[in-house]
Amino acid sequence: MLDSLLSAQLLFAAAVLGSIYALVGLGLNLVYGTMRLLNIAHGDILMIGAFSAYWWFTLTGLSPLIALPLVAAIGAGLGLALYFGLFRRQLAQGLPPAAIEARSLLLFFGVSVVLQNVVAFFFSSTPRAYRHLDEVVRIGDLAMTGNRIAALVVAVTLLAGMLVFLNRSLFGIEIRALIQHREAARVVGINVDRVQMVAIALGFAAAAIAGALLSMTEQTSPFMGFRFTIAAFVVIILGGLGNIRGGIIAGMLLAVIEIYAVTIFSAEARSILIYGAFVAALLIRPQGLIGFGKRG
Amino acid sequence: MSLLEIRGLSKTFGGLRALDNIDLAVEQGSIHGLMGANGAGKTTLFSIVAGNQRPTGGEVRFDGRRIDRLRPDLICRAGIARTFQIVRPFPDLTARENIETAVLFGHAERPRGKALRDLVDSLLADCGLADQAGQRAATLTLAARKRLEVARALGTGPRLLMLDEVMAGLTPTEVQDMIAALRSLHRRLGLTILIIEHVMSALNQISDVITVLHHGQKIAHGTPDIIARDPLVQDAYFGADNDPAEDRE
Amino acid sequence: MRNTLSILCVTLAFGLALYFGGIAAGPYWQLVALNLAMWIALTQSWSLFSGLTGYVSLGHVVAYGLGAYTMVILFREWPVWVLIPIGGAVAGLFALIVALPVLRVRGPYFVILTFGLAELVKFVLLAVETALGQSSRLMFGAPGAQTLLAWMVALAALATLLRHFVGVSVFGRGLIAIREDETAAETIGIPISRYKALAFALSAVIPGMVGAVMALRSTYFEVLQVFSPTISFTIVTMAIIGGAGDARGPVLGALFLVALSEILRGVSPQLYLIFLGISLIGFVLFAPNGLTGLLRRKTS
Repeated sequence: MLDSLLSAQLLFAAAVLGSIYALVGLGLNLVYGTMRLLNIAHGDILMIGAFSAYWWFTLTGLSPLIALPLVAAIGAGLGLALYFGLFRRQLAQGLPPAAIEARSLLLFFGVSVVLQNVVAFFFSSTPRAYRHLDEVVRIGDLAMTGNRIAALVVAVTLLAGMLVFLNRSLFGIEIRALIQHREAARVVGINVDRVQMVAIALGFAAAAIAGALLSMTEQTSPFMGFRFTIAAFVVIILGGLGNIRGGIIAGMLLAVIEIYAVTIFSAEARSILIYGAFVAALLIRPQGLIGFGKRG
Repeated sequence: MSLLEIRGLSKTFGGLRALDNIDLAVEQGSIHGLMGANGAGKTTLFSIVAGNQRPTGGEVRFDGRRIDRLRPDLICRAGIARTFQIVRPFPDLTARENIETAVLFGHAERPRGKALRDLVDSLLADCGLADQAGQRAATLTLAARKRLEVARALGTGPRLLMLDEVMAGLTPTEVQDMIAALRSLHRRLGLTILIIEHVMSALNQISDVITVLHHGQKIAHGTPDIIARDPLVQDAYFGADNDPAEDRE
Repeated sequence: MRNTLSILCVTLAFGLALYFGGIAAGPYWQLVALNLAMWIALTQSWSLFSGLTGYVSLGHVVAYGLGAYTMVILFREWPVWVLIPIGGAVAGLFALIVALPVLRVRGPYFVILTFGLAELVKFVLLAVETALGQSSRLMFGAPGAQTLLAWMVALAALATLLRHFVGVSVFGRGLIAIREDETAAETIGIPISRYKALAFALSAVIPGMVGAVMALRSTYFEVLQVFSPTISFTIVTMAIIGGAGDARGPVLGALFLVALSEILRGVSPQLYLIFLGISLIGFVLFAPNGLTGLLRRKTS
């Protein structure tokens, strides 16, 4: 028993899932951090990404990895459509953050119901899966499927790229400035509107790509998103608002706990654990996400 | 015995000492001024006395009874009311409903029916709000909202009323009106008042005694005349970068 | 006084119309009447807490589910009329227990917390049921449809009256003050923690009873179905579409969505939910005070 718990196999599984969680959390971090939009439809964007990849593979027979730019564009397009359709005007009104949070929560809640059911309406709610890169690669005792390796490599590359982008590029610095001091950012001449557009496009693209990667290894269904929305919130509550590094660590931590819980107990433990972590995180930090952001 | 007695009160936020070992006694029936530049700790002191914040050390006694571990609603019912520097009326309720709510909850014994209506009416009249009684608080002018803040605090039937810059941002005429209203209330209701004010002349006019705080420490205490001549106060208060008349609304 | 009387009369008249109309119009409409009464009861109860305090609960399905669960596991032990109030009591007690930690969390975080908590309860109960080897439970010998309709209409009326009378009471004024400004509220003597907890528990009791009656209606119990987050979502959407300001809002909101559901569910349940989502977005953007707000604007 102990052997199997310390195996590289579990750690590998945790790394794959953790990098996906980190990517999803990063997307939420950008959207919530820059605009205070409480996107509870975030997991549904992941679902859209997963469905896009599924249909790409089914229709063209080509690897979904080739379609990643397309999936990212779909996510970004969706983000921009929602930004212009629902949020841009409200954000420009300069409402207090609490009002924006409350209203965006309700709006995204509507968006979530619509997205899930539009997909269920057109494609039915039957879970779908496809086989791609599922040959096993062995290194010593460690057996890995190709698609998991691919998911890990892509997710880690993207996370590293985002980290560099946010820390080094002028645009990334502007995004971080907006996360930390919205008013000050405006005063120092940052084009807030443009930064918000980029943040929502990037955030949604990250979620969509995470979905495409996930679709190679897990079943895709219209209602798969909830779990990831919750995971994303756990990641940014634990990792800290606007703290990309903290988010990556939190994502990995959550994945490790989840993988081990499923192995030791049962598959049902997964949901109990994720929601349990979420509830505990909010109860420990009742003032929500902002308190953490200031620390980190 | 003093109505309010504060001994060795301290409050730290992280590394910052907002209040440092403060002693303060407010005598029954007096109007006690509290003075000091921004960040001197005046509002923190109010918040601790009213129970909105917990002190790091020291004790607060009201009428001989320790209150520094009590919840705000219990402190209110014990007879202490406060206003907030940045006024916080219930925006969606009318002026009348704002006061009525305070009357309903602030008293140890809840007035009902005609007694309730009469009390609210007299408070509306006392604070010059009779004409705006039916207006939503959010739609009132700043001066009216400040008066509503005072009226609501009075509505709880306090023995000690703590006023936090109720005159800041008012025009000179409005300031004189407020002073007259406070004096008349003080006399008629036998109130004890602890008042923070940035408008110096107003504070001098109205206070029996003044305590001066500076960076969380008490640096002077005495009648307005004595305080005005105190070199420490002049140094702290009028020194370099502090503008006493600064409007923080 | 006159106002009180008119509220009582209107509620009574509406309740009787719903009951006898439902029975007279045949089995299909009887089911619609049951659904409408159920949603009114749930949304009024929600509004009693969330409408008055401003703490938007996205987890009210837990109360409903616990009531249903109570009914199902004790169905063979005790008579039904005892179990309905017990279902309500279990739901209220659960709300009271979680109230203290949960109600410290404010604003939008409270909303997502209640959602997460509801899902947590759902999955814990699912694990319990699986461990007991009960993937689903059946009930035999439940009361007939007319009896259930009568009970449900009574619960809807009760919830409506409770929402109204709490709303105009001193307790309700305290809750409204908490919604308006919690710090100011406690500073003028309102015991905010106790009031919030009490309102939270009170708003769970009737949903618990509703859940117990609905368990009898479906005679079938499965955790995932009974604790479905869609129920919480629908309650919130109805309250927002109707307007949470007074006892009329939930009735209008329930009428709106039940009508939408009857028109569209036959076509496809997904289509109904799509329109539900779109209605919610539309109302939040263009009529934040709901249908009652629109009515008020038109009459004034």
